[in-house]
Amino acid sequence: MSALRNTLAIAVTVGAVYALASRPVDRHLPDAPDAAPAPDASGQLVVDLVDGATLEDLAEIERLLNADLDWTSPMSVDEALAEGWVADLDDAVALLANHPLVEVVEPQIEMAIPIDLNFDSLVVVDDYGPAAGFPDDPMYSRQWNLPAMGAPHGWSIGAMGGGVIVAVVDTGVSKVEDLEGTKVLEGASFVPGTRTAEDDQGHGTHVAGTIAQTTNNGKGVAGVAPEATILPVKVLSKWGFGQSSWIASGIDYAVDNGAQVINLSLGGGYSAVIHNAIKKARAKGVIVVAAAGNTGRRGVGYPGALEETIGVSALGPGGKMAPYSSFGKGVDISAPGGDKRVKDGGILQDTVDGKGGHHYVEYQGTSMATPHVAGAAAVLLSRGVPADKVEQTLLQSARGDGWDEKFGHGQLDLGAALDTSVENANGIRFLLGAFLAFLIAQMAGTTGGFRIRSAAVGGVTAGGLFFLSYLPLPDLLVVRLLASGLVQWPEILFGHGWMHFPLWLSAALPFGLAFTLGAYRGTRPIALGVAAGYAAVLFHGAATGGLAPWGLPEALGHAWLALNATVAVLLGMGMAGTEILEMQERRR
Amino acid sequence: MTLKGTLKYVDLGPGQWVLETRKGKVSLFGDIDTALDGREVEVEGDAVDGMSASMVGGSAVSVRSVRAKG
Repeated sequence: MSALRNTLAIAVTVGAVYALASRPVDRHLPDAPDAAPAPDASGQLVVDLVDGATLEDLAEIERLLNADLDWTSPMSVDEALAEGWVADLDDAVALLANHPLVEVVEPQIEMAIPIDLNFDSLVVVDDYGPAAGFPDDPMYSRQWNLPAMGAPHGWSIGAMGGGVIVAVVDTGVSKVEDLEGTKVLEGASFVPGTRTAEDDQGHGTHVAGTIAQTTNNGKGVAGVAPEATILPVKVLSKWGFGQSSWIASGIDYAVDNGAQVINLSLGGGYSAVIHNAIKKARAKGVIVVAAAGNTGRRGVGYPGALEETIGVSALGPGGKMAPYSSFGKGVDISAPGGDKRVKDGGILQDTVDGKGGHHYVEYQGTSMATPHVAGAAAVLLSRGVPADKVEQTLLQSARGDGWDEKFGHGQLDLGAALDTSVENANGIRFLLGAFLAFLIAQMAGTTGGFRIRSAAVGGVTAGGLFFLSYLPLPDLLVVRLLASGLVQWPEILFGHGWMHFPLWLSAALPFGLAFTLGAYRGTRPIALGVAAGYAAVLFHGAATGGLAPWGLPEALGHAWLALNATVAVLLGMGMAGTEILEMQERRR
Repeated sequence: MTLKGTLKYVDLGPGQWVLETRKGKVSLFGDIDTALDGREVEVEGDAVDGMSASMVGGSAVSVRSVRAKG
């Protein structure tokens, strides 16, 4: 009976902790869009059939329309996105609107980024000035945008987006000089007439650089999440525009190829097929970040205005909204997009120069603001923040007083987002560790003092003295160690990733302590507390996906964590039992 | 189609050509001589499917040719 009560107590506590940590963010969205009206004329139609639709299904639709349809791309067969020319778009849309094989149907729509090959008018910076400290990229001193959104905070704790795939759905990405050390996948192109995801325009490479420019390589500039992996998806032509079917196919491709974050520095009017692709991405836990638009007026463009995307407005160097930025309902957060009215006020990155080479060039636009948010999302994911908490963490930690139509929930602050996520997680882990240790000691019937000492060690092992993060203390190594759980120490001492060493994420340390400190009465609560604290962290990591042992596939990694957590609990129970036996012997 | 108006270069991203007409703004996509910036021009081109599609707003035209007036 008491075991059942204890189990219920654990379940209630864990549930309460998660509920407290999941405060929802109010969203401010424009009125629901209507699908673009089809004109009374012939034109190209896009049909998104139900996933898994076959060629026979496509043939049935063709018969109904009396038209030839083709899959948008060989890579779109799974998603069943087809397109073709029809005699009357209006009739075709009406005919298929409620067809059971059709998810979405609409006329082909084109979307664009601002384009031109007029590079001569741009502010081009080619001189390599000196840079001190980290990063050693010589032009970092001109990247006001990175300190403004807190990127150095991430670098300082080794949070650089490692292991996270960010899809740049854009004009393509070329591996220019300062992307030399960045992991860039092969990607794909959905623009007819192009065979690879190489950038023939410049926009996509610039965006990719803001996300993951090779950093601290003694060259050029830095990026927000330099260890993130870029997945280039070309959906915009060299003129910077793309049809809705290309973009929807590109989003589908990104999801199918492991993207955890999708950057959409593009926009226009509402497209149902793009909306559908984004809904599917969100359903699979992918974070989608999109630009608000560059009209300089109220009214956010799509897909930035969708509920499923994080809509980004642009800031200039002084933290004021940039004059070109669209604003209004649909803006969720603001980030540096540049203001070239100010000297060195644009966003500086390395990109193709349109003449077969590359150069470091300042751009401005909400296109440039968006990848700051995508990079920040990658950093949070790499720190173990669950995908479904990333948006909430970014919006709640943004600098601002509530929502407004220019800044959304505020200005992007990666430093605060990291602090918030770590503090929240450490607070939760502290409670779990302390409670688990207390429960193990209580179930065995140990004394009150033993329980309390075990619980204290369990809490500190799991979550450290997490409340130190809230105090105005100097940023010293010892403070960071004290404010962190034991499992996080390798991350702080040796750099990003070391926490995920499988032997460290196992019951090895609790096992060793159980047979050393656990053998003595005075130090037994320490060994029990460490075992319980470790178990709490491993269980928490398996449940949230926040811990990923090196070299193990996801499912196996979770099993490893759960197994070792169970072993740690059993070790704790063994020590509590030993304590009771010794206590009884002493009494005799 | 033929459009008349003032050609302007908008410095956003890699840059965007916009034609300011009496009926509003049109985003232009295609090769345009930078010397025409600020000039009154005639643009030959094709409308791009019902939506301006550029993040600067307005409708969109794929450009075949641009000629200065006068």
